[in-house]
Amino acid sequence: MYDEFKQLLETSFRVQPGRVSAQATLEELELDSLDLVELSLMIQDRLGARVSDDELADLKQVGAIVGLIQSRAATV
Amino acid sequence: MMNPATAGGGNAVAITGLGLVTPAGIGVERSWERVHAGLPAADTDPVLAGHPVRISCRVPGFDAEELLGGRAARRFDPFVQFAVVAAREAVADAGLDPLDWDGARVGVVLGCADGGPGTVETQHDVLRGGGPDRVSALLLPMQLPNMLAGQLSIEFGATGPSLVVATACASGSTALGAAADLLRLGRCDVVLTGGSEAMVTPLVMAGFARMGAMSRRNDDPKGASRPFDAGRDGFVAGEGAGLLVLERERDARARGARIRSLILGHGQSADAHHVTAPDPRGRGLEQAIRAALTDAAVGPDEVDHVNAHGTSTQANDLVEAQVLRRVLGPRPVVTSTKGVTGHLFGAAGAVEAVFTALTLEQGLIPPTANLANPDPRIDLDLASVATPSGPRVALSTSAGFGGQNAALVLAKA
Repeated sequence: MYDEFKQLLETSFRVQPGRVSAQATLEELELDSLDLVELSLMIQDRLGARVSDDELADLKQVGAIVGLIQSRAATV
Repeated sequence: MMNPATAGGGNAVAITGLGLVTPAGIGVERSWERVHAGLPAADTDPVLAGHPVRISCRVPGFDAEELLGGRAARRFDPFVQFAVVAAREAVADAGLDPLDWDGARVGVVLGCADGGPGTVETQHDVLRGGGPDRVSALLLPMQLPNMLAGQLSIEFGATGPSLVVATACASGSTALGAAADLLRLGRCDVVLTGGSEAMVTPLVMAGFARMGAMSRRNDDPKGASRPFDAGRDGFVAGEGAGLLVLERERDARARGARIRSLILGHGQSADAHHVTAPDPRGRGLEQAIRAALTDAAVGPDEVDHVNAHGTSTQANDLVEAQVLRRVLGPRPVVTSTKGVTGHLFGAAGAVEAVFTALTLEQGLIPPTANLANPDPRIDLDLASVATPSGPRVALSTSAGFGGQNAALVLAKA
């Protein structure tokens, strides 16, 4: 799931390859609140998990977000 | 001969930086070269397949990701992308460093007719197909016309006045006039100004086609935009941006800036006649031109050159030509660069002001492309070929739907 999420950030949000890590925050990757609304929709479409933009903003770090996506995707 | 040092009532504004993204090319040099060669940019447009008008003037080879990076490519509508690329060129040309300047004294005044209709059309499809919860959160920040100035303020740390003016196809010229006034009133020390437009979209083009305003020479795109020619049958839609850096002349001279040309004055008016048809006698345009000449303290007999609005529609070109003849007489050499670029709507006036500045700087008037058979009703000295007549004072005219007109008087520095 981490690789899929990383790929989503790199292809759909044009985050430069190499910048995404488990510790990186979405803010460091230059995603703002508007992007989080888009990201929430893409996570649902492509990774099969419902994660709101507010949750993304609260979790901040890529690793934590991937953890939540995994737990939610498994139950869908 | 007019003395540039005293013309404009000491109110002259210096153009110290130029930037272009046009169908004639990306960058001032490439655009100017093609305009100068009189090579029309129009071509068949695959986006318009199935439309009654299937030709347009696109910016060739514009790769937003390469020019601006992935984030801007994703988050900016093309009308903002064009402007950012042209603005970077203009600011660099002016020799100004945004890290050094006092941002509070830097203004941004852009013209734009329609904002980002392409984004609206795409997201409307999303709404129809998937419902409101699938519409992008970026819809508004991408399509609002004022984002043109907003994004440039962000880009350059310019915290002074930041606004977009909309007078349809006169927007670019209106913006330059407003920008010049901000300098003359002392509200800013530097103004980044111009116009940008990206409205060659299926919905907009369908609307224009229904109005009968566009050329239908689908089989001859290169010959479609032919301002002042007897065979003209409408404009060809284009896209792009023209950006200029303006400063008070005395400030520009004091810092040793390279002054590309001067803006001596401007004039604005409304026909107060009809939403799309020009006043049959062009009284609104005439009023704008006379106001610009008065503002510039330049007599009609001192104008050597006109970069005309010259859209290639029957109505505009005839009325405009009659106004120019009436106000300026037979002397100025008149051209319309829309024969090469097509009609860039809200960017047109700004792009043409850049071409006019280059014309004055280099003493070389670009030709009106496709002017093979001038309309016999037009009694003007039309440039059908590049003319090295060394003009010193030039007029640039613009007119927009809504009957809004703008004129600029420029002079050799």
